[in-house]
Amino acid sequence: MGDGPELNVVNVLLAALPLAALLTSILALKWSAPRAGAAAFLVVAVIALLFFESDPRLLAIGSAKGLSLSFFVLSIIWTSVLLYNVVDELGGIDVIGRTMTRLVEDPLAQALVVGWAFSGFMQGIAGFGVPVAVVAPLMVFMGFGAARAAAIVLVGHAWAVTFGSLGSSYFTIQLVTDIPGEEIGPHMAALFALPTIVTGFAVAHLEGGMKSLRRGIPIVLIMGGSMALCLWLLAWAGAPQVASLVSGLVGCGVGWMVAKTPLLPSPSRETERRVTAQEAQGGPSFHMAFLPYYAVLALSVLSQVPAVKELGASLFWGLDYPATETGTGYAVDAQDSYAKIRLLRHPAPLILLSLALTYGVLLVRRGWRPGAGIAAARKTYSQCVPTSVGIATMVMMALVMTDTGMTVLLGRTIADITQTAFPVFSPYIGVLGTFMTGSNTNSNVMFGVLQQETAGALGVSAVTIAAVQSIGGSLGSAIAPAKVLVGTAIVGLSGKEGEVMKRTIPYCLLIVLLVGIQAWIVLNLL
Amino acid sequence: MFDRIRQRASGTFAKDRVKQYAFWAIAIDSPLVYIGAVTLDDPVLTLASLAVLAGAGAMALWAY
Repeated sequence: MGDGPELNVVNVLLAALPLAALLTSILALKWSAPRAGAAAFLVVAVIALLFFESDPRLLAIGSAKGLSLSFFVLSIIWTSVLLYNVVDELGGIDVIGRTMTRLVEDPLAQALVVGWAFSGFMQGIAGFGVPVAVVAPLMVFMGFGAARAAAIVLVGHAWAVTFGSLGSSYFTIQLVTDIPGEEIGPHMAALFALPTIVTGFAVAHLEGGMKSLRRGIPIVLIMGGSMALCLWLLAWAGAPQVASLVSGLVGCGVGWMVAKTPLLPSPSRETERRVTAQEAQGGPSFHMAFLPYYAVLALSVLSQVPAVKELGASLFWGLDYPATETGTGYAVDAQDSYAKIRLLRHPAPLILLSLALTYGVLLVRRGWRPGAGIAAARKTYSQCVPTSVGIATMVMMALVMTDTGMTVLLGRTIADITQTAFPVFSPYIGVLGTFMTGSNTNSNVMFGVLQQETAGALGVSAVTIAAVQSIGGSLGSAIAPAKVLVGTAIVGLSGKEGEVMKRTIPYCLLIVLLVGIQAWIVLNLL
Repeated sequence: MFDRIRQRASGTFAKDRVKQYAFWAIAIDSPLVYIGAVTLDDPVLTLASLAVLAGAGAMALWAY
């Protein structure tokens, strides 16, 4: 990378303007995501051309990268929404919701077991927005309001992102910083204990305010303690790729058991009403209704088997991009197979295969209703069009910012301003990366080296700062527009992204602050 | 039919159509942006495809 834009107040304000436009229009003006994304994209295009010495070709390359990344994300959204609508058309979602409500009756326990631990387990297997797409609708059918369900899953799964997707973000931070796994893995997992437990409290608070928070103290501490210990043990034992997966599963089991003991006091009369309100009759059996999700789980696990990985190594699609350089000297290396879609690993083909398997099984068992597929496809189209415009414009904005040096400028500014308090603000840089790209992995690619270099310049441990970068990136998943849009699209809240973001942002910022304070203590006092 | 007439009167029918146009403009223009800027490195196609993207952005800004 070259020198890039000069670090001065005007440039920093200009670089922050597209982000400010996006956040203000969504949160203050209550614009829908497509409208806010379009405004932010037009703003960044003008700023890039006029002030960051970009040319139309560079702008087009940045936009094309944004469209490539959007295709990667949108293919997951379209297929997961289609899967959900097919199951819904066949009466399955109602059955799943009723059964899961019976399994864990207390709404607080439901929020913790499903929205916190199970979504972490799903993140461990698939990631890339699948936990939000799968778990949020389940919670709606368990009786949670749509915005609350989306917010619970967004905050609830954020502890599992770095070690999720079979460790993709974790391996990335290790790769870009060149810190050995045995050094950063256990250290990062130990630092994850606090945010893991606090996300549990955040989920409890999202479920029922201070009353649920107080009632949930024992169950959150027991579940969170088990999950954090499990995460550390697996990272220490050299199995970070399954750390989120196993910890999520352990959390589900522990939560289910604790929910049946007096450690979780009885729910209020109001919640009891909500439980009984779910008891309707009819529809397919639970296992038949859950069949496509079983298939997604099975195919996701199968896709991680070394032999399958090897088989699918050459089966991918991705576009090559040339190196670029702005007039300010900010250079970006050429990238091969950008936003690569691996046909045997990417969630979209796996979800489509699950749908095909479900169709085959239901056809044989005469459980398929003619017309269900077409009705589901129509519903999917009308739900996904606004989401697609929102994601495409926002991701294009993010990639133009990245390719013209605006994002790195913002990261450097945070590092320069904060100086000795840098560890406290370091995880926010990770959040920024995930917010911009919707991916912890991309955040680590974008800021991993910057964080490491800043730690070196300030004379603090690069291992802790690199770990904190990834933890911030992981927690940033709770507010990243690309993920929020997955949640709102699937629970039928398209156009009301601001409502969900308003719920998740305070929790995210608070948990990240705690992570930063923890890092400062580790670096200065221990 | 009455719904459609009511929608036309309130302008939501036109907005609904423009929402779809914005989506399809981005979808169809996506390969052209790449071909113009990367494959052919053609300034005219690059500018034209960027103009379509900007148009789609303007449509989204109005319709959503």
